[in-house]
Amino acid sequence: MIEINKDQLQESLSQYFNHEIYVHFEMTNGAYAAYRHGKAASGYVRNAKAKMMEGKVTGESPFRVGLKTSDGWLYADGLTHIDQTFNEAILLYGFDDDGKMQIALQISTTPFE
Amino acid sequence: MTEHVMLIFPHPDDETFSAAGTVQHYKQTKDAYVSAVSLTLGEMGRNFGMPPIANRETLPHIRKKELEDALTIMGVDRFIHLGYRDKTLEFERTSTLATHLLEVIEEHRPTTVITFYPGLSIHPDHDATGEAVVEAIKMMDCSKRPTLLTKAITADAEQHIGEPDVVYDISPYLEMKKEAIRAHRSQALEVDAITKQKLKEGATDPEAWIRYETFWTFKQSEEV
Ligand SMILES: [Zn+2]
Repeated sequence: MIEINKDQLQESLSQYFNHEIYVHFEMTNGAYAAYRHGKAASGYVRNAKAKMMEGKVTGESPFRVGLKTSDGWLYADGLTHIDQTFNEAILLYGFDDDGKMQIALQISTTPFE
Repeated sequence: MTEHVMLIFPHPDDETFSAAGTVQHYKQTKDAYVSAVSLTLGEMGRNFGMPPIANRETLPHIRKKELEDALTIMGVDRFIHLGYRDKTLEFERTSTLATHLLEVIEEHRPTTVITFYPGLSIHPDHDATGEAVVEAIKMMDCSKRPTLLTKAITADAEQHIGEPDVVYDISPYLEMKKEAIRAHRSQALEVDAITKQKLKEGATDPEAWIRYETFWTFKQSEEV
């Protein structure tokens, strides 16, 4: 996993334009949040299917990604890291100050396991 | 009859934090056979390591390997993975989980089962696991039921169920336990987080939560 390079990410995303994609989208402050510090708030969608039309990376780390789909939008803020070691998929993450993952946006042309 | 201790926990690392020393105690003093059942592989954990050594997709594979390493260090004889997905246990029908666990218990016939105390174990998967184990054992013939040791982890557990009746000071096995904890490499941040939490709750010894393994023997009449 490495820090996101904005230009490279934009280039990678554009390869998915006009393609069907599977999305894993997740935001979480942890299952222990309610116990340790306030209230838990989290959710995920795994293998949602969408047709990506176009999209952009904006901001300076942390980055925002907005993807226009045939029926709507996908939006994520707080992304800092990318893992390109996993098949052809794009795996984007953001971490909190303790190093815990707090947002994930993963897209792939094949379903996640 | 040979003593057989079966650990039933939802996530890799629950077994190590809860019972690594207890396992050694049973092995050393009772020559026990020990099996470990993990319902999930902790697929949805937030800790990827610092710096990250995993991602959302590789995490289950990495945690499975970490678990196997930790179990080897703990001297566990057999590992059984049930293939559920992290964070989904509370949404399974309790009877589905309980029936599955009953099959496992009846196949392997443990004399003692160790799991979480339902309702006092913070994480929904922990509570769902404890609840399903209690249900499973309820379905058994009284004469065939294993002893059920449950671990409660909320700070106020004693206000609800009194003091734990089983307390092991596992000092003789502390180094082994720490090594088993370290085997869960991607979860290293969790150790600091728990220690911080325990100090906040008033603990004076930052290692007490590792050194003392406490359990409440579950009586089937207890309502949960
Ligand atoms: Zn757990």
